[in-house]
Amino acid sequence: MAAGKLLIDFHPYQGHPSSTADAWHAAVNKHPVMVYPGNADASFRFRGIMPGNQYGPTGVLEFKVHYSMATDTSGTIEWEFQIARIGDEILDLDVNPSWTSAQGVVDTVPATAGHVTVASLDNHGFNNIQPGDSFILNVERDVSDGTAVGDAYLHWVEIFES
Amino acid sequence: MASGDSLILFLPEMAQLPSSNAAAWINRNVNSPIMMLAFDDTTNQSAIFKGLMPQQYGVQDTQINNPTGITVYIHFAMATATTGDVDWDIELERIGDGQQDIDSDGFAAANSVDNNTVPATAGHVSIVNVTFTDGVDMDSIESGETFRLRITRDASSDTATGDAQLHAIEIRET
Repeated sequence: MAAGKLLIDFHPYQGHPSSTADAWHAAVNKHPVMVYPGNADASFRFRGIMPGNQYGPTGVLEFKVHYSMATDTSGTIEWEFQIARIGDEILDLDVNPSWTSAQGVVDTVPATAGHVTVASLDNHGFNNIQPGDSFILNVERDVSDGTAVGDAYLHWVEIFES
Repeated sequence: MASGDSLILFLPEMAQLPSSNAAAWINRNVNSPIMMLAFDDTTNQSAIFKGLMPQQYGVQDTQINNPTGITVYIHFAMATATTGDVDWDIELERIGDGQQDIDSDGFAAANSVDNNTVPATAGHVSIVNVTFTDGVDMDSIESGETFRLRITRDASSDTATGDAQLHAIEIRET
């Protein structure tokens, strides 16, 4: 697959909790979202299968998160990403996944609270995920590295091949 | 779409369960929960997924529509078993445009992938696959049509003890 092509995307209802400090489902004006609070780190996870022929692999991925803020119209927010390969007899589901190191992107929040903006992180390691492998993506808001104080709403997550 | 390209992904949380002999939703790994579908080792149990065959199915270029079929990849793990084998049956039902009365079932005959030796580690996910030839074998599902997929563990003929847990299903163009 050519660099820059969309591999897979996730919407809020496809995620599952991590059992600690989770974001939660909500609807904002009937738009399904994941709510990430402003007072504590929170995360949510998504499972997918890396596409068959469409994925290189080139070794690096780009993540894009579509988000809006509940009330903030200034400041910054940090989104962190980690990915773990499940694969074909690679990961034991009964133990904690082997994650890539967390990498983050600090983004300036939109000037209008209801506007959705896109933050992207490029050059993330792919943890040797092969075409056809299932994997888990962890998306976390790191409140200590951002200045926005209110809830953030996650609308969509995309994974591209860099 | 080219051979080997991914068409559809089904996860356990997308399943619709039949009124009898249904697989069961469970969460595996309390520290990092992953939703699975558990299939019993004594009764043949099933789960059903509804999907839409992408418009790209069978399109090799802008002029030619030449579908060859699909391959269904089954990702599963065992609850506890580390020996034995598991058998899976896949059935497809075309809903389409005025093709299927949805008040009744119309699944085509099952294609099976049998005697799949379970992983030596109970928590490992194994990937097995079964192919369907385009046409009657896949209930004549065409691009742009909705369909259902029913997956059944043939527990009456396989040998692994304990639940087999479905992790994901991927459909690719063959």
